Amino acid sequence: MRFKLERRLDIPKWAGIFIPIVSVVFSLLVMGIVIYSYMYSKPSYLKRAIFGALNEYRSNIMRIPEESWNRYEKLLKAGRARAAIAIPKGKLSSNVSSFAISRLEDVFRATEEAYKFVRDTSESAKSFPGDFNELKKLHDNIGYIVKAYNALNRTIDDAKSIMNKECDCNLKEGINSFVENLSRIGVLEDLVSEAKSVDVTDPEKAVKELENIRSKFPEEVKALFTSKMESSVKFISSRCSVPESSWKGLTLDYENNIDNAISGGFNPILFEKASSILNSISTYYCFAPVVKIWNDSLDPLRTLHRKASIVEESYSQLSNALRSSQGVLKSLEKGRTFFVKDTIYSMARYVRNSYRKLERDGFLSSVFARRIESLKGLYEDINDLYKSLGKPSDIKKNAEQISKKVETLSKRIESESKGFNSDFINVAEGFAKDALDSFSGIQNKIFKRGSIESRISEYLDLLMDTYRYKLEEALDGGIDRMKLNMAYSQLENISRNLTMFLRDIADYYPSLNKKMRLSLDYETYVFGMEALRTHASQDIVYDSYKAKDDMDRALSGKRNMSKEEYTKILHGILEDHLNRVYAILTKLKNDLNSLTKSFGQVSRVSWIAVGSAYKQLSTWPFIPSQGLPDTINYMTPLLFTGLGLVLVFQMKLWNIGAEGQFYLGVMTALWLSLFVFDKHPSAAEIPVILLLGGLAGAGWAAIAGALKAFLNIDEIVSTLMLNYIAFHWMEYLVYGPWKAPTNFPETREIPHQLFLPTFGTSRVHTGILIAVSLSVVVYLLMKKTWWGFDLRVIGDNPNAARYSGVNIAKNIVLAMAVSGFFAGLGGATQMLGFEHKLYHGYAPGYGYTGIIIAWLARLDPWATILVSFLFGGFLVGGDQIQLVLKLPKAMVVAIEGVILFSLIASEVLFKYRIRVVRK
Amino acid sequence: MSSTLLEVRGIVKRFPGVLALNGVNFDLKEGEVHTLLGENGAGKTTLMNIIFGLYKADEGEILFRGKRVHIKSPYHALQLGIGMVQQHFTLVPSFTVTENVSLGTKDPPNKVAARVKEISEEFGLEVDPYAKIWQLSVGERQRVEIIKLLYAGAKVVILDEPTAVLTPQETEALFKAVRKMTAQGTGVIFISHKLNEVMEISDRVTVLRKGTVVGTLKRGEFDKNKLAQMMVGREVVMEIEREKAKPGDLVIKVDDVYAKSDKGHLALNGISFEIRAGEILGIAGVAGNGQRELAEVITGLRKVENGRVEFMGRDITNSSVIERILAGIAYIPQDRKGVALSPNLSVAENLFLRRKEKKIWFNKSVIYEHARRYIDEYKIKTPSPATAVKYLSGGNMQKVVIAREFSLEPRLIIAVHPTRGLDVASMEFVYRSLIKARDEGVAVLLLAGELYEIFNLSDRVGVIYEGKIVGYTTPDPSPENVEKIGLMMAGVAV
Repeated sequence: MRFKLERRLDIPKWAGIFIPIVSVVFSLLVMGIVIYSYMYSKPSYLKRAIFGALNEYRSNIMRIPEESWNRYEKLLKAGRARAAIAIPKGKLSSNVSSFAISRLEDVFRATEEAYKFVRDTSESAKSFPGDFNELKKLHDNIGYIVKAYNALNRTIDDAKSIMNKECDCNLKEGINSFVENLSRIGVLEDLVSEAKSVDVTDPEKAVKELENIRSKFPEEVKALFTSKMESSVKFISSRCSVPESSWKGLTLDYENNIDNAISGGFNPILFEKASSILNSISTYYCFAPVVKIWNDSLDPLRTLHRKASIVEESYSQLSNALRSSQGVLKSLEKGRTFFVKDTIYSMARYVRNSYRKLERDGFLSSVFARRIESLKGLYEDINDLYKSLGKPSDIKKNAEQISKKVETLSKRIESESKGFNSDFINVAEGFAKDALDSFSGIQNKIFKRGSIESRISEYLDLLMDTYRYKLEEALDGGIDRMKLNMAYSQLENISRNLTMFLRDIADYYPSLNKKMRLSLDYETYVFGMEALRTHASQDIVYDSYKAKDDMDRALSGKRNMSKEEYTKILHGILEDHLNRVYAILTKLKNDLNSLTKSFGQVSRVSWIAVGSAYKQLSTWPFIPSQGLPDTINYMTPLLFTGLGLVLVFQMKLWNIGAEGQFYLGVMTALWLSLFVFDKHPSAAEIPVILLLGGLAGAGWAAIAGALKAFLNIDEIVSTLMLNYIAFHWMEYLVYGPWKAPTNFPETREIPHQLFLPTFGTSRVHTGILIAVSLSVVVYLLMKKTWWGFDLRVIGDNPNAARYSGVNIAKNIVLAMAVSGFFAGLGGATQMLGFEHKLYHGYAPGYGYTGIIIAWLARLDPWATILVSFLFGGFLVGGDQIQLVLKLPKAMVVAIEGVILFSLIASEVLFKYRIRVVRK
Repeated sequence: MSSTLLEVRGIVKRFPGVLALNGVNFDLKEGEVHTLLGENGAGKTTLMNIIFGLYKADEGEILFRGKRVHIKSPYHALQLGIGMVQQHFTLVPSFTVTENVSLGTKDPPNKVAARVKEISEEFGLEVDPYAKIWQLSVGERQRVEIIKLLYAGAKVVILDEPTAVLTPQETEALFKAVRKMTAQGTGVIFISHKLNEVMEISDRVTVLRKGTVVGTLKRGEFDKNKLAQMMVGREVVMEIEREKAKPGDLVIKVDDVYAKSDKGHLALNGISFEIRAGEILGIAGVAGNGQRELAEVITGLRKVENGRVEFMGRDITNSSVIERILAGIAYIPQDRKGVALSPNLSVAENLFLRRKEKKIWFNKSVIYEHARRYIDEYKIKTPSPATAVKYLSGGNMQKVVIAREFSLEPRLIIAVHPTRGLDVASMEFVYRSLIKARDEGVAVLLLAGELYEIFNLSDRVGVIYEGKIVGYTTPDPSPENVEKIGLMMAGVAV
């Protein structure tokens, strides 16, 4: 059995639409796979780098003598013992209830305090920094400032009217309004006190004073806003470890808006805009993730605290019941029966309260199930007793009997209470532990969060300095240089990798997140990563300090020891330090690993990136407020070159030179604009420039056409070569005679009078109109003239054309020239409409992309419009993907290539059919 | 009697839609020149390609020195000792003769050069072993090809139309070399349709016609006349009723015209004739004697070297194709798909491929309207006027060509093999169309290979041989007349 390619006798009709669609879909699939692998490889590559460095470091450390490892282990053991002491013991003797209670109270108090502390810290985290918050408040209350300003103006007007004796107004009212509004939000106190002191009886003087206030008012307000902004900025940049540059633009925007708002007569809309900028600063850059960490950590602790207080309340109810029973016994003893019945009723109620509290909580009701049962029984019994009691006189009569009953009940309450204790004490340990764990967890997070305040690289630098210092000392003492050196250099590697990796992640994911509007999880992830890393760096630094101190201390008192002793001490301390550093790094590695894992695999992130790439590609370029103007501007030159190629391709004349013809148009337009029409440039010259640009392209193409027609030189080769000539010619001009007097290899910009007009205020230039009208021309030429018909015959069967009397040579030159005219016109349009100047390495590749467009359009002029629009969108979307996903530019070009490749490949598959042949 | 080198039995080869070879038997003995004779498309080259391993036969077997062989490739054939000099040479132009000969061998160059010199002296194939191929003339290149085969030790040498590209002197030299080769026992298969050469060199001749062997004749059994008749055939398919011609004014006069073929040789050698309105001049002749060139000269597709063409009393020797179309010269070429039609364009568009009016705007609806009329009138079977013409059958394609050419309101129609490859009904349509045109006063020049076609249509019959009219006769299908035509086709003036 084998496969055989068999030529189809007829190409199915649907192929015309099917081939382009299949090709594009295939290429997009390829793009998805490429993006996926790119995204996937990026973080995992860095991860590998770190782990590799760690492993090497480890193996170097392992070469350090056995002895120091032993020391390390001992140290670990000692540390664990200390830690064991530090953990508070909740387990108590169940027999000694009072002690148990007091321990329990300790636990309660501890949790209470922990909770309070956490709550306070959390509140302060939410509201930090103070200035920032105040700024926000100021924005919320901007109305008062505006009102105060209006009141001030009104008062001045009133005062003037009084002077002109036009009205009998009350100035005091206006001033009061001014003062009240400002005092309500407590700002501009100087101005307030000034206003208060204005003498209302003398309008002339009042006007002077009020105008003085008015003149100061805008500046004061501005100072108020900007000073708060400045201090907020400082705070944020230190606290959030976000590079200032990344949101510098936002703060400038903010200040501009404030400026405009104030100079525009306290325009509330502009204040509103500024406020929204402020919000975005806080949401995107700093606070949201912090608050989230806080809230997440607080929840378990809150629950724990609630449960603990329930148990406490429940227990105290039982104590109340016991106290009541003792009260009853005393009363009966003394014969005071009046309250006995009520007190017994209270006893029952206390007992009932006690178990009902436990019952309501799911967790507690299961832990205390048996206790609740027996408390229920106890309640029933007390209730029975209560029901059986008659009047107080009856009670007095049966006092002894009742007293006995109460006594047994009291004893039961006491034993229940004790049992309650033992029950609770059993779970108390767990409670205490949970509470402490949760607390320390939060503390950890606070600590990590706090450590972000400091800059990472500083830590690393510090780390390195300390290291170097230590090393020098170590060398003095005669430690094995090589091993330490190696360990040292590895450590440096680690730090570098860490910095790179984390900076990369920090740059990469937030931008991903922001652009793709992913969930907050991403930020948590990024901050988590960063927290872990800084935490580790800090630990290392502290340890270095500690080691240094140890050395200082060890050496200070013992001036007269031998060199051996001296070396030994230093050796030991340094080894210990190294070991600890290694432990820290290992932990960091594990933490990073688990963080990534728990976050849900790099793979998922990569898939999201792929999805977002498709989304960007399909939406961004076609939304008017986003990429649509760019799409149209990209589309214009593509449409020009594509149309020209449609014309020659249908006569099977393979003009690969649209690129060079385009350059000729560009150069001609630039030359005319800069050197011919530069004296009195006017819009009337634009058509002339465009026409001549087109003709230049036509001439360039006609060279290849003539070579083909008269010497039968392959046009593919000649047009391609002409592209290079045109390109280097252009480069020569840019570097040589046309170079502008700047440091860059670029030309001057053309006079703005020669710019193609744009549509309104958009950045879309009117070249698109020319291009679209040209497709009408191409349509007419191809489908509505005998010339177009002749060209088609030449393309299909040159023999038939000759037989029909068509002059093939003439038509080849002519068709090439028309094709070149279109490309040249496109170049001139691009120069006047878009580029406005030439610069080194200008090679947009529109001519080559035009080839793909002509093929995708199946050589149909109408379809060319659609395809070039979609392709323009594809290019814009590609740029967008580059920006958002930080992909290399080559990616988009590669996808273009894949499209053309699959177009051509599928063409073959439609012409041939694969058949299985059996031998 | 010398032993048989090569024998093929019952070879059948089908191409899509064509039966190229139908049970061909052929054999070659040691030291003989066996000529394969036939018209273009008779199957000569196909048969040789099968022997040389380029094609695989669908049926039949090949025996080499009495043993059955399956020839897989040209390389395999050469290993067996079968070599072929193809019409298009297979040499590397930038290599020297020696390098070309040593291709595919591992022999040291100096040894190869010595051997090349030896062979060239032995067989009179003069060539400089160190010359580069591109420096050599066509004849010298052919010699290199032959030397290549002899160097490889070929016992069977196939020469596919070797003289087509040669001057008479070179031909003479080639024949000398061939005789020396046969003297050493090599068998030569010689392919040609030039009767003179065939007569000169052949020991045996096998005539192929439409994929079947008409006959194999030994030296002494054949003469030019007989071979010509065998090549052309004599069956008459149908009789077309027609009135006697009423010749009118002189329409075309061809006066002592010389023209070159594509290969650069003189294909028309001072040809002269006249045709009057209302007359069909049938020109018979073995293919390749200048028929195609004649048609092209008159339609303006080929340059006239010398001589004069007059149409309706006007000199049109140097007029363009368009001018001649406007003047009323219609042309039905032999190659419908390759020349007469643009296969991927629609039927309607093909109906306007050659047109009289010279307008700028192309109005599709008007064209389709006209096209529908023609389709009805000429009963062209097509799904719609918009169908690409390549999907039509051969007969309907020819109808499209005829409809278009007749719509030019011609004064002269040139038809070359107008019924080749058509079924009987289409053939009859073509015949009737041509006769109808004649009756309407159009001059018709009919160039056909089939004698019956000439007899059926012509009012006068001329015979062409080596680019010249040898003589005229009547369209009389009697055996005497056929014999006369056969003689003239062989170049004998009667």
